Amino acid sequence: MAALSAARCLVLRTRGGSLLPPPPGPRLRPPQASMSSLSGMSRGRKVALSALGVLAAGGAGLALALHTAVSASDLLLHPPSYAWSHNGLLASLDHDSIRRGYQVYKQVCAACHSMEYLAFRNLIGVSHTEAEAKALAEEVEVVDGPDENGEMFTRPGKLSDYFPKPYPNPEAARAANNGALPPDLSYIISARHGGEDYVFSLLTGYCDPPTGVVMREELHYNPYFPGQAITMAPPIYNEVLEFEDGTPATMSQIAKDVCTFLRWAAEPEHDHRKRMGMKMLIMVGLLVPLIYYLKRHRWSVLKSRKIAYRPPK
Amino acid sequence: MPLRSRLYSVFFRRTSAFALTIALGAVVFERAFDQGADAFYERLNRGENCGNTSSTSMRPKKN
Repeated sequence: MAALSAARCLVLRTRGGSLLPPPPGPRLRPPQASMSSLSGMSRGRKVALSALGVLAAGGAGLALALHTAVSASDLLLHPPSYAWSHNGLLASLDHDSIRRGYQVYKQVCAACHSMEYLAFRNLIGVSHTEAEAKALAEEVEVVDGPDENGEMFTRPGKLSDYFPKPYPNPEAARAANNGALPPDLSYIISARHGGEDYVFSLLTGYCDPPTGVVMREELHYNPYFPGQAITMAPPIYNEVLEFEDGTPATMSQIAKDVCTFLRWAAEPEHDHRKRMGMKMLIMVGLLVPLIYYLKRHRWSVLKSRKIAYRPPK
Repeated sequence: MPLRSRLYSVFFRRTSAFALTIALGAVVFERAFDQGADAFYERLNRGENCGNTSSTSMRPKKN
């Protein structure tokens, strides 16, 4: 008898078990769609699943809390918003300021910082005339070549040359600056939170470290710099250079001019963008009423139409 | 309206005249709009030498 039932079991299993429809016979439960996967679960599984969910949520919450704590310890002085002359929607850059800022870059910043995406030709019509830009380019020695003997040679710079780099490669720059790489200044205003406000604050914000904060020999305290310890020594001070247009070279004037110059370098399309935006708005102001009138005109036939249903007599 | 009918007959009636009106009108409008908008922008930013490529504006100030 036991052997018979075992054989029957085997037959049932070999027939495909649950894959095949059950053999006709009295059913214990009417068929119903199982909408929830939890309904058929045992109590133990439910408890285990709930525990897993609680654990995951708790872990995520803990990670979030820890992350916030990390941010909270990240003391950072945010720069104030300065009233830049190019802040308005239609305000262009101050090109006299750009010219002075280039002078500051050339005489102060260029000792350590490269601007590898700017060429002398970019200055034409922005801060310098073509002749002036040519004269500036000719001041630098550019390595060119190879000549017909396969040797590199130096020549005076041309308008198409890019600004000379203070160091041949980043490793040399690090080696010369206590391991810190002076960033390229081409897009620095766009590359830093706070833009020119941040750079201005950084340049003018050097101060003595608060009591208890010990700085390493080659580091300088700057509350605006993330981490407060910056390798760059205070680069500008009053009368660090003499402006060719006679503007008094105070520290804040120098910082403001170089920030304007760097804003132009990071966003050379600045003035053109605002000019075209203004023209676009004026044009749209002309076209939108016209198109609105045209739309009303075309639709007036449809809008004034009346559809009546006349039942057949 | 004699003026209006006259305008119509001169500028719009014949297809050739109409096409010419469109082409010339586009040129004139474009010039006027561009120069007017540029003048307005430069008036807004007076003293900033905005993108003015004339050599005089790039000359360093004499003190």
